[in-house]
Amino acid sequence: MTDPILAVEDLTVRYGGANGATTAVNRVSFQVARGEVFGLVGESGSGKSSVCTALMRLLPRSAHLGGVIRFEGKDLVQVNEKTMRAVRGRRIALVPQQPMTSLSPTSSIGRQMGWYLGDLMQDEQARDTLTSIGLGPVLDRSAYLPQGFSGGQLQRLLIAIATLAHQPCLLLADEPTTTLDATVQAQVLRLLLDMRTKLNLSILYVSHDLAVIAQVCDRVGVMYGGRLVEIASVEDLFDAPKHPYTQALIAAMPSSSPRHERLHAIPGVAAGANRLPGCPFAPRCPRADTLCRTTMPEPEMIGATTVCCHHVEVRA
Amino acid sequence: MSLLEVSGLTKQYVLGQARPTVRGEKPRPLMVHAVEGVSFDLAKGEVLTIVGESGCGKSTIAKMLVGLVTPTAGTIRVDGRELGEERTQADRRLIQLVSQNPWSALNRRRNLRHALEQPLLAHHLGGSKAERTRLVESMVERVGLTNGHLAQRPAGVSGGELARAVLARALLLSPKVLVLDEPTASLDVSVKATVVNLLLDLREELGLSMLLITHEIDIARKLADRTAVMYLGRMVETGLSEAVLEQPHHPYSRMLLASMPVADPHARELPDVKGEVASAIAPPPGCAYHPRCPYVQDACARSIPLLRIHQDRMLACHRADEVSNPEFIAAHSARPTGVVPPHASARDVTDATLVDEMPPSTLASVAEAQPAEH
Repeated sequence: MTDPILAVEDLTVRYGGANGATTAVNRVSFQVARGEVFGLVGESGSGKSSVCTALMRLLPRSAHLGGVIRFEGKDLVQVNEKTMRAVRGRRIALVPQQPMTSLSPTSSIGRQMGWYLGDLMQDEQARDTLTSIGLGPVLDRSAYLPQGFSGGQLQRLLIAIATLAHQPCLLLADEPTTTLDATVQAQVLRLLLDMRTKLNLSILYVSHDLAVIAQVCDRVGVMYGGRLVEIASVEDLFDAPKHPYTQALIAAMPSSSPRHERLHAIPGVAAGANRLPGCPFAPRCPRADTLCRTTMPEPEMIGATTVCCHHVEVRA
Repeated sequence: MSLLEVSGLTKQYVLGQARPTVRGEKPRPLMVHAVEGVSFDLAKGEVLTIVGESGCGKSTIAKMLVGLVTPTAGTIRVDGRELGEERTQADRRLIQLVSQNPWSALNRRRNLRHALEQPLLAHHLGGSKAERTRLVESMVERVGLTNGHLAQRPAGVSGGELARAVLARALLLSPKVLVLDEPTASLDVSVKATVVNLLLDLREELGLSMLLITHEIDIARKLADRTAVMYLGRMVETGLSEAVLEQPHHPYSRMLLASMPVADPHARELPDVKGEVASAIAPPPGCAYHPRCPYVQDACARSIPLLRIHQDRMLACHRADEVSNPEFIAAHSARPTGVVPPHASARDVTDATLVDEMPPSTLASVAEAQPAEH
């Protein structure tokens, strides 16, 4: 990839705990190009949110962060907190999962917009932009507290703050529509994509919802048990998934089997997968053998797809 | 005869009093119109699903059916027996609820065996301890758990297993009607599939009648015989799932279904959704959907459309004839208010031809493509 905006190499996040350390993210490597929407998809506990938090360097103090995060000529794993402050929110912006709990509940919306947007609030053009993304009703009632607005309105407001307050070139969206209804989700997704086009943003889109991923992403990384098991273009991922987990995940979607017929469920559970020495999916994988249980497969390029599997050739 | 008959079910919550706008005027009560005049029935062995967005009243219906909330008006009948405010234990056994969040549905400090024995004890079923154990253990097996799970506390089992335990608890009372409130909303894709499969099996084995309340259209497609779409407390469209979910006619059903993202990168389409759901405290006059409806006319703001039989379904729309006519819709969609073409992707700029050559694929073609992967 020529001149990626973000290059993550061997990113590792370990959390300490009473039962010993948990490796939430294990040697994850990927790149995001300028103007690209890169999706991270996985089930709960797969480590996708930890990747997001690590990129913002917002991990708890007890967590251990390893690897390299190359962004605008810096390694964000190594830089000090002062440098990070110039990046966080300014060059890399975050759209959180729960709009309701991401604003102060005791200050009016107008006041909070003032904190983040400052002089922009007086600018006629900026106000027009805010109105054009459906924030007219919010501006009209700017003396209200956040609880007076719907989740969709607050999420649009948070996207506006994230993208307009400074000039970020990378937006981290951590399940931004999970708590929203379908029709509101459609509005928020359109807004995100509009912002991408207008500001030439790169977006890291984290989600567990394959349908949303299919609708908004250009390339997708699939996470399981802290590992990135497959990276592919969104078309390749849905048309020709390579990793057994990706295949099982796509087959398990309700739309993948005919009406009134049983779904292709994945046997077993994901819990504990990140503690395994070998491939995290091995206990649930139909193709697993001794090698899979003892050694983690190295990433391998097949066409434009990167996949971590010992038996990827067997299928082809 | 229908097993469950619900007629004119209404629930209004009084929030307080609105301040009078004119001096000297009496304060008006501030009401939330959660459910307004909802009627439906359910035959034996049938699965009816109610779909809609948050706040449309679908969970309130579930709570009224099981007697957790007292209706403001309307009747609920099971097997011809009217279930009112005062219900006997036998009445309560007729309808059982599987609640939304399995994590908060069980006592965290007691194991699953205790949780599953409670309904039997409360309803004086299974005379002896041994009999109760037998009933619990056979039910646990039926939902795909083992006796080992019974010794666990809720925190010790996974989300999918917990969902099964909650289902088993409801089934232990042999209800005639099972009400499932968002049974799969909090589960991961792979686990969701196992719970949906279990529901498909139980339906087959026990001939259960189920009322499934969900916002996940793909789950509704899988399980339901009939579907009802709700908007702001009222049903706007009901009928066979094949009709309502595959070819929605009501303008709201159309928008709701168009908003569901399709898991196919070749069929990228996000509809241009206009406005937001209005407040249930002050619903718009006439048809509650009219401020957002692309086909609105004067009559829509004047009177509330009733749910009437129209062709193969029931529809609550003043322009029922027109909105069920594909030609009328196509002519309207040409305007900028309709669904816009798929959005541009980053690669379109460099690889425009590639995108153009891609055949327009549908949901069905994804389904067909899957078996080839194995």
